[in-house]
Amino acid sequence: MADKARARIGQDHYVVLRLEGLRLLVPQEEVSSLEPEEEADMSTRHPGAVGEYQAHPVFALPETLDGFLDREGRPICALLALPDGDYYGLLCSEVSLLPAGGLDIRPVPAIMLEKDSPLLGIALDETGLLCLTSAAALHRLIVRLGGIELDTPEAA
Amino acid sequence: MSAAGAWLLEFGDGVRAAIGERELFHILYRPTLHALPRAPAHCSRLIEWEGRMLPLWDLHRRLNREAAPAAAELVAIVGYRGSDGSTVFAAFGITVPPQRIGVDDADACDLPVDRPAWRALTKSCFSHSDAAVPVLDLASMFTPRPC
Repeated sequence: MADKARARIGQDHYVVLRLEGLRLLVPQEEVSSLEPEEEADMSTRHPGAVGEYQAHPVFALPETLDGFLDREGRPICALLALPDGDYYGLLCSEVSLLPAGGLDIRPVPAIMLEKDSPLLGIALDETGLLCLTSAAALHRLIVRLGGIELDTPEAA
Repeated sequence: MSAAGAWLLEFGDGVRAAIGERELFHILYRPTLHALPRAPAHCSRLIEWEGRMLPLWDLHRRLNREAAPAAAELVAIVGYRGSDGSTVFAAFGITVPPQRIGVDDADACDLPVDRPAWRALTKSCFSHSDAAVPVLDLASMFTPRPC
């Protein structure tokens, strides 16, 4: 896990996806686009999803990452790219860009890590904790929580 | 017969345990806590200490499966020898400053029976002021068990 975290340090920028109090760091190249939440079609439902954007499921996760939410208070849809070219949306309360250079990403203490955790590392900045993840790691969590499974390879 | 020093830690609601005299490194008052999602309920927050990110154990929650009635405002930074010989640091939420006590071999006693979970967290137990005080096995507590 520490190697994965270190490997990510080479990225130029991360996108910070805020889910209320939780700030997720995702490599910039895994964020395909940012769309207004109103652009998503909420009349179509996939398991666990609140709707879809251009036929891709859109999910809303709580800051505890332990279930699914409705869309309330999440104005931005981040379209995340999986390694196989598929996509899914994640509703966020705020999105920002962060240069990777100043971040000291460390492994999550092993005692706090569940099996197949979506958290690949942690870092601190002046605002607080940042949790490194990836589009694939988050998608595996979504599937474990009961969300629709996209056709994606195992590797993150 | 031999004697040694120990630190007595209070975790709230009468939960007490001891660690070795060389296992306590620092006491912090109301440090900033960082919640980590999908972590165990008794170890779901991190603190920053001297450039490290340390897991914060809530022993009261681990034993009773609920938070202590009064929030622990103090944090004890503890350390133990890791498998590679280096010191591994971690943290506990505590309710009062640790008390230094002397322990003698003759004080050894059985673990308290009211909380069976003690057995997985401790390496011994001694009697102090007419109460059984478990001695925490830090290396075991902070090393994840294989799935």
